[in-house]
Amino acid sequence: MNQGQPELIERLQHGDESAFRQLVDDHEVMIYNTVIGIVQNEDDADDVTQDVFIQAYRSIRYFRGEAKLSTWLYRIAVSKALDHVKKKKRKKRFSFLQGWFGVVKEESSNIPDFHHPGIVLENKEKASELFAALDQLPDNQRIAFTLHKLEGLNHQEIAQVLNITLNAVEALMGRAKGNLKKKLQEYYLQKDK
Amino acid sequence: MGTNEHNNKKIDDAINSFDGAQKASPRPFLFTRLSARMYNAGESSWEKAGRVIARPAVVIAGLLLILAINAMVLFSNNKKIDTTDQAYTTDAYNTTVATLYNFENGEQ
Repeated sequence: MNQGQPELIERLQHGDESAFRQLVDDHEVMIYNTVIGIVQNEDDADDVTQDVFIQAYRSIRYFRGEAKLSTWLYRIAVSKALDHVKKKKRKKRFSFLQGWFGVVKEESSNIPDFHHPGIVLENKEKASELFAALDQLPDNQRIAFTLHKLEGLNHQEIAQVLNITLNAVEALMGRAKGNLKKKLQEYYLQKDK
Repeated sequence: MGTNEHNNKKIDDAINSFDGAQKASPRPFLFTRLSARMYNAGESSWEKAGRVIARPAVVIAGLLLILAINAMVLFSNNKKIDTTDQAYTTDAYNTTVATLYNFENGEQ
């Protein structure tokens, strides 16, 4: 895939539809898996994945090849997924106002309820609790942890996606794990009461 | 101590729960759905305008504006009524004074 990338990029920049199809087929799992780890909802992940490819289609002419195509796509995916999460949280905050205008409110809950389709059965409940804790982390820690644990990117690759240094990624991962342990501890103590 | 150890184990298990996870795949025919969405992406001006007007923030701002205009109109109407009363009183006073003057300097 990497060897043919310059050719693929050139075809994409010329608006070649078959090249766009190839881009989608080659990267749909990568994008969807990244997005679902952040938005924690299958339907939303599907919508956001489409948004990512639409953005890629529109922006490919500005791609200068300084980073790998996959790195560029990861950046778009992370950005779109975070935008979606922020939009959803904003809607939740103003949901009481929406009620005044007859808009049906979606049920919202902080109880762990997201089940990632790829998690093995015996880990599903624990993973659901981890996702709930992840949802409470600052964005950069959440992204670093998700890219590493769910997408399998190493720290160097994460540094390229986030456009930060390797040391910064390692610091983020350390803080993410610390904060996750804190959140999980609070959750288990609350649950035991 | 036992509960602490138990909880620590639960926490570690949760942190490691993503291990061995397979990547999630999107629903089938993503490219077909994507193409259809890109093809239908055009939106008429009316639809765009409707979408903007329907936002709660726009509705609330509009209601507040209407209330503010109503308040301004009521306030300015109250001011006019007061002025009219004063003018009426002044006219009445002038008439009275004029009548007295005419009486005192009346026909001899």
